[in-house]
Amino acid sequence: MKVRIKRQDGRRSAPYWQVFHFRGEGRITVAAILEKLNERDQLEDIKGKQCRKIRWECGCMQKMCGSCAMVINGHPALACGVFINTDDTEILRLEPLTKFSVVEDLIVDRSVIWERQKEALMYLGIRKHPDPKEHDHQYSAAKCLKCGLCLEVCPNYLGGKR
Amino acid sequence: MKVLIIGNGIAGMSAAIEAAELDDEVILVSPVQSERTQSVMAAEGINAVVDTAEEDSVVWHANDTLESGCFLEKEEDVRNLCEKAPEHLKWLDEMGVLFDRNEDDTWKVKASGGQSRKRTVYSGNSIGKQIVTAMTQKCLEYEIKGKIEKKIGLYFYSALIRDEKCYGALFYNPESKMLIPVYADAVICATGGMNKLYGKTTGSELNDGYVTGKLFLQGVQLRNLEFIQYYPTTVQRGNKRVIISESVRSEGWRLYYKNRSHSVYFMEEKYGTEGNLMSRDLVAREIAMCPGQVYLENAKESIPVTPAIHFFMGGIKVDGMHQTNIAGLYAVGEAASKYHGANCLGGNSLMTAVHSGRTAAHAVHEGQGQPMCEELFVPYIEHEQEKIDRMEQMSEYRGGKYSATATLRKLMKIMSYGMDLIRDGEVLQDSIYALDSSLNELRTFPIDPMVSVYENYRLYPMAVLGKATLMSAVERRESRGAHFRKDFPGEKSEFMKCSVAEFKDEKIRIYFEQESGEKGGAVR
Repeated sequence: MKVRIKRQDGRRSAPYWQVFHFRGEGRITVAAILEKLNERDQLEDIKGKQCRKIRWECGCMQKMCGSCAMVINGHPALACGVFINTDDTEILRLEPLTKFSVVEDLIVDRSVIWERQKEALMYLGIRKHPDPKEHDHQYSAAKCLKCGLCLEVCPNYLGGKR
Repeated sequence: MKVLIIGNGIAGMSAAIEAAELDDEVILVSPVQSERTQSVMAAEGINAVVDTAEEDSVVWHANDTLESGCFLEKEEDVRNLCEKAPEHLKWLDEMGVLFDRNEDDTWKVKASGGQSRKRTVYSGNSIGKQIVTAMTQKCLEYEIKGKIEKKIGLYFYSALIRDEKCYGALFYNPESKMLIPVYADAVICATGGMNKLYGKTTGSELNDGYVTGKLFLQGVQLRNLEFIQYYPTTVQRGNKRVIISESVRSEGWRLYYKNRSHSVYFMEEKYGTEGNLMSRDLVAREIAMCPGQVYLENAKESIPVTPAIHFFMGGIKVDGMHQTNIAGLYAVGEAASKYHGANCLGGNSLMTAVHSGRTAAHAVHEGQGQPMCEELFVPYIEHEQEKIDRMEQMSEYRGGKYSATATLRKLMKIMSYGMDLIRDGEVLQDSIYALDSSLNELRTFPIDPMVSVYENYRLYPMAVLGKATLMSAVERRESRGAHFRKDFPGEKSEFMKCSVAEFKDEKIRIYFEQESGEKGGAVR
């Protein structure tokens, strides 16, 4: 399998693509593939050139922390939640989220999410009695990972511009 | 008072919110937002004595905790925790945590392995995330009101310590490539466990024990490093070990291994009908000793399970108010070692995260301010900045292909092997020798320009922490709770003490110290 990754050395650098060989290892997650690439003592691209390890955000590896949101074969998703049949896939294409500015490689700056919450004064105060009717809605809402994937796909969100 | 809190999981946020409520000035620093911390992964629940159908009491909660910890902890500290637990629940409730409730509004409780009563309060299967969500918006409230200042994107570098007093901490900003000091009257470390030192655990990739290791090198004492909890039932998913909750065992799932075509229900055979619900350390060990793959089954399916590292009972040594041996420096949450002794009860670690955070905030509030001393540290900071600049300037390998990745992998292998569920003196000694060779290499300060500066400078302190852990395990020549030695399989009364690790004169020293003045028995 070939892994094509859109890389960027810094906020103000130009993006560029790099391709890596990946020997098939059955059905594993994109997060596992990134980990295994970075676990090589030295990482070489398909032309044999030595490269910096791939920078990406990773925390829980189990879809609970929202760190690894990225664009996988054109679809925004959590890398630890997407399984790839590495024996049967020709190309895996990885890019950073497009609606946020790139910090480095697959890491983007999602701080606008927290900044907007602060501007909107989104806090609750003191709750006197929990409302059993609202429990299920609130429980679901409270699970929001702040991963940014909804903003990535939403046609009304233009990427932080007012 | 101005307090610097490092780490914004549940323990860090508990300290931050409490300090803000006490009207202190809070600076909350972390490399990532709270949503990304390990705290969101907690799934079981949080223990407290509450109004239930079954009678319960603080004395029993404390006794269960002390017993599970094999009587290494100070009664007073554990009693304090259990007494305050109901109040902490109410605090969380008012913040908006969505606990599961009965029709009459009382909290629902479930059983957790090793406890005499059902007292684990929960929120669906995502207690950690629910608490983090409620706490983050509470922190936001105090941020808006000017009480908490949040600094995200900074990595801990070192504490600013002089003459056994802490004046703040130094952080690395990977974007500006600068070391940034933050001075305060007190520093609270809420930096979690040392998962990355072992490789695949159930926890977060972000928790690497660097802060604990670095503080150790700076003279902070550590305690009970040999006590590591293995969660009995985990499965491999992707490149991760994922927990299968012990709750399924209280719902009737059973553990077995296959002897030819016949299933051996080993826990039930050895311990009776409640065999599947024994405490985590016991179940994990029994699974490790089975002659074949162990499975969890119910009527419909069978899942292969393996124990995996889950929680660190050991860490930074602290007194009753969570202060370390360095004045003005505190440790809370999983980073600190207190309450759990030789084995942590399911549901207790979340309560201790909240309790320790709030306790430390109070201690800081009632403590003394530090005099301003920025000039004191200027030469040190300049010297360290030069080291960072040298690391940043290397853009390619210069001969001798040093790989930080290979070094970390070696460390993880040594640690997982030496600190396995079933330990042995000789294996531990061999592991120490292997680790010494890594330490020698790291002392020459090699740099791998292909990984980040942080991934370079974290290695040496992590390796030293690993060595201190292996040495603690060697010195504890007995088996107790989560620490099991093949060569010393019984519990010895002379070891009813905590191990203390100290770094002095370039050497690691391990000694044993009794926590309580009394024999450390049950609470009366």
